[in-house]
Amino acid sequence: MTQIDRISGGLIDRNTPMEFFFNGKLLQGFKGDTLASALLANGVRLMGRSFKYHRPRGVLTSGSEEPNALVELGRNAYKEPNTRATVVELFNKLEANSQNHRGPLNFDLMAVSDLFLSPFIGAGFYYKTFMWPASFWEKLYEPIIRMSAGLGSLSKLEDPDHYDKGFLHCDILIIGAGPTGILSALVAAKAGAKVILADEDFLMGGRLNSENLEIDGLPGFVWAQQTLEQLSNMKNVKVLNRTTVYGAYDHGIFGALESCTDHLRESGSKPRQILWKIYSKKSILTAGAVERPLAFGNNDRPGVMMAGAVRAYVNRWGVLPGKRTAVFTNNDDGWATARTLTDKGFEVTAVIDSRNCKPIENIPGASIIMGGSIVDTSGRKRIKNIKLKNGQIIPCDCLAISGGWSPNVHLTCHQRGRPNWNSDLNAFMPGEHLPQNMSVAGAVNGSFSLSGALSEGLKVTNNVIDSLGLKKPKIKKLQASDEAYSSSAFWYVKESVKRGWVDFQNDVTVKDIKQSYAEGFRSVEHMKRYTTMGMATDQGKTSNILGLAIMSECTGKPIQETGTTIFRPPYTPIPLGALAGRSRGKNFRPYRLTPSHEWSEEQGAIFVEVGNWLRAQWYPKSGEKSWRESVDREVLATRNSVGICDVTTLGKIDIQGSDAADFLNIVYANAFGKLSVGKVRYGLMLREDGIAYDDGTTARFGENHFIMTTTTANAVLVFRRLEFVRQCLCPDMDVHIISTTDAWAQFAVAGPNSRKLLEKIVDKAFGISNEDFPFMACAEITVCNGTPARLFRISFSGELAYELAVPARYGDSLIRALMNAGEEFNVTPYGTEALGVMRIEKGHAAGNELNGQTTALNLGLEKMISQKKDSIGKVLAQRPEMNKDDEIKLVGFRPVNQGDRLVAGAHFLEKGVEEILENDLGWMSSVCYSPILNDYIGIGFIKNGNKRMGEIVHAYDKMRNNSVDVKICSAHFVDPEGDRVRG
Amino acid sequence: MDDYALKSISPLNGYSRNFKENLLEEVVGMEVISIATSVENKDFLNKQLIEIFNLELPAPGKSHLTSNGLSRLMGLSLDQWLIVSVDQEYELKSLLENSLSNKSYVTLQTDAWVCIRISGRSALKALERICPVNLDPDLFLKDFIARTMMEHLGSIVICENPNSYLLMSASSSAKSFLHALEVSLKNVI
Repeated sequence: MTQIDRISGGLIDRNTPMEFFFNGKLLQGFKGDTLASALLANGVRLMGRSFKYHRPRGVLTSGSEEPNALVELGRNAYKEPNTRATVVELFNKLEANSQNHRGPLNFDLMAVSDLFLSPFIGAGFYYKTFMWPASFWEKLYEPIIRMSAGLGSLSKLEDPDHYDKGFLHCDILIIGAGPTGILSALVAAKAGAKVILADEDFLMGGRLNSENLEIDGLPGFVWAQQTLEQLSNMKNVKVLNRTTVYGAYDHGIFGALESCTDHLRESGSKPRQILWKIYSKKSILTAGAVERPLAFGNNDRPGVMMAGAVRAYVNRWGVLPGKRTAVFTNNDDGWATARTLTDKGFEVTAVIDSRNCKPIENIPGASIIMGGSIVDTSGRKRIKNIKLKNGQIIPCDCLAISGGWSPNVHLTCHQRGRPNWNSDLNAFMPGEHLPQNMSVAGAVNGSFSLSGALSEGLKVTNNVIDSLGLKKPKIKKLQASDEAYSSSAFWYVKESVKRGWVDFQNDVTVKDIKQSYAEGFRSVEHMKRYTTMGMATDQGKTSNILGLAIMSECTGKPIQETGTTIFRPPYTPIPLGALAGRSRGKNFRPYRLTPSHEWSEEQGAIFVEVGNWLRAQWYPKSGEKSWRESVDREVLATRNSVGICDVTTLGKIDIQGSDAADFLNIVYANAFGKLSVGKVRYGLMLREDGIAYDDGTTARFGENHFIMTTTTANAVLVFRRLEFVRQCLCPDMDVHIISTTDAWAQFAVAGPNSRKLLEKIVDKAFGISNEDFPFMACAEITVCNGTPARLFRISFSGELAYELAVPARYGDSLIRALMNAGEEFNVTPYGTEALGVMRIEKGHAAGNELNGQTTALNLGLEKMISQKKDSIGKVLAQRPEMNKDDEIKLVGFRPVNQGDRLVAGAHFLEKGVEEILENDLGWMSSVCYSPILNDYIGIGFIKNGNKRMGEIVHAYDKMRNNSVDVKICSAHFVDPEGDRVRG
Repeated sequence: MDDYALKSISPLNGYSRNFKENLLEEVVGMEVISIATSVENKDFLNKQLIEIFNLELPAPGKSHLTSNGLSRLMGLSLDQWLIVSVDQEYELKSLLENSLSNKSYVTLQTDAWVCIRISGRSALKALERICPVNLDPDLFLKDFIARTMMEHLGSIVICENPNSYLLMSASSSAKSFLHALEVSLKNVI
């Protein structure tokens, strides 16, 4: 707990110490630390093992681009693997463990893959090896490779954290709260714009927190905090720290992940993270730049760090990464690290600059080597020495490297924008095709000096303000330093014999990239996939340009001609829990309940999801051993006396207007114009191509007033279709539609005693005898002493039946009343299963038959297509191909051997023919066990079915090994004459 | 028949719950009527509504409240309006049907909707979690309405004031809608 590498200074709160555990060891840091800075403060340099070779690795960077220091946070169900230690905000009792090693981190047994096996497991090795025997791949080779490689491990337990999502709106979204972003936010806010300023860091300020820079005579971080405080107090500004804008989508919409409780020990049942959808009129990307490494022999040892990161640890966190630091750079910025260290009195052993120029400055005590390079390093678990190409050995315990800076162009590419190569800066810059309404400013646009970035930020923001029609505020020009930045196109040390790492996270070396080229991979995209460069949590933030440069050298073409990969969302990893948000478990999707749901629950009903509805499937009674027993009982009780089924879920559409009847004539294939008031008619809708679309009944309650009923599944689709017809096909018609599905609770009352039951419910003023209220009648009535209701004499079961609808608020009460009134008839509630059995027994088509492949002719409904009027689908239904002599027809099927089980989906074949597609005659669409017939029955489609009554065919179902002989029969198994429904 | 008198139950059975200083409550006893008309009869409809409610037809996205505060007329689209009323003085549907003399079309929608009021200092923050509409009080003013989707559920949001919103959604999915609001409030208070 000594924090041996903690030094003075920094922006941490030393009055708030925090204890944390790394690999079970208790350590101490301070509020304001990241896990990485706290580990470095405690002298920990070895933080993990590499992906493939299990090389010892330490922290490389200080930001979200970190490829090396990946850890598992938390334990049990809270465990989160592959977390970058550089972005984990330290909290008290934080638990972190290193990952991807067998045995202790210090003695990883899998390190043999580096020490002995590395020559055999280069890029794409798994494409070329383990080819024989083929059967070993899935069973042996792949499991071994997967076990050996990889990153962290999952707990495989349900995530106990809460997540949320939300919607934010602004005039200007500013992405990145470094100096440019903060200034832009201030200017925009003062102009009166609604501003959102978002940054992934918990301490906003960007490099002002890590560098010794001044703005207007104030230390940079002081200016940043003062300005941020000012912004936080402005009503039109929302400051979101710990928030990563991870994706730029269409129309100025951005995805952002806000980390809410990750930095707290307890979440207090509040969401851990919020996934925001931000709607912006304009956006300004001020995301800065990331430093990239140089490749040379063994450049991946713990203690090798980016030069900018070394400065950040010293200046922001008060941590000394090494007591003897060497610097290797190809640009001016590496010198700043040497200067920072020596200014604070720390030793710099050498500054090696790849450029052949005069030293940038004097670094006291350091060997200055211009035009030099490092060919190798030593020190397995922490760097000890570096070896130069001239053979000189220089001791060090930290090597700060700088290969130049890459603008964070990630978000500029999210709508297929390609970045442009800038050969002065040796970096990709945002291209011409930015996401809609996006501007870029600051280091992301190549303005690497503080003064330049601020000037550009001001200019760009003023332009954006102008475009919004706002007045530019008066902002005085800020005084800031104008640091020099010059880099060279130096990417890797050719003289290195040892492996030089390009992509630290995926263990991709210079040799791997050259090898992929040698093996014929010319496209950058192919190289990336072959070598795995740029994949996983860092998405190549530090490696992409280096890899491209090496590829460019191989091809002999400049980088801009070699190409680049463009970036896709997300910018940094998004937990799956955050994507799921609150949609989980029972609330994975909304559910709809019928008015009788509570009553059905009381009866112990088993529910099934139908669309979003929960419908009672059957109502088990004590002693019943299977669902079939319950369903058989419900069917028999209905057919023998009376049953009740909640049919509220059927779509109900109220259609009114002086042209309502003509409108129905267009949407239905059959005619509705002459339907009498007080009558219901079955209707068939066709698609434009003549295929059956939906069916249902429509009742006429007035000259200009109809109620259409649709199937449950198609309620929304039919409504949408009617709106399309109304608005686009028949805009001049006086017709208005509105859904009333939810407004009415509707119950089917079916069976020979249904009328007797309803006579006890329907008010006496309304007669429902067969004469007063015949089959296919409808009326607005009252029930139970004056409750308004609608009654329809229609039947899906084939029995004498009614559908009774009352306003939904009375639905619960009505089912209880019906059950009470029906006691003397042994009334039985029935669910969707019994409903299905009875409709198959009656031969009614449903969703299985109206499956988007069948026509009116197939369904035996061809005569319903009225030839006296125009209707949707009528013309194309007449196509010869849809009216062939041997068209499939809907018929019934019974097993030849009583008791043989039928299965839906079986295909019909002539007996004895080969079971091939050419011999296919049709298919079984619906089956059930009929308790009335004591046997399985089915309906389905077979060629010429209506002309083949009594013939025997084979119902073939190889998938379920259930093939039986069936006899073709009428689809109307019960009451084929229809006497019951009219009784 | 007396044995079978039907009892009315609202979609959320009169739910009401405080979340610290915020209140989430089902608005019960509210009648909802949809009115649609053709372009040529719009003036007539406007005239009749002025006569009945002393209110002009609002444009889509706007609503007008009667002087007694009991009825609200909302503009849903160019040819459709919704009236929500807790005024017990008259039977609204009959009144409208009689007044509009078949020149506009009236549909009872009372049972199709659940209406929930969310009010309190955190109401707006809670809605921020589920409502894609920009409810910024500077833009979405008192009596503004919007049709939108919240948690995949079609809904209407009505601004009573910056700390109080009426939310309407389908009655069959009322419990899912309520759950969404409860979670939102819990997450922001």
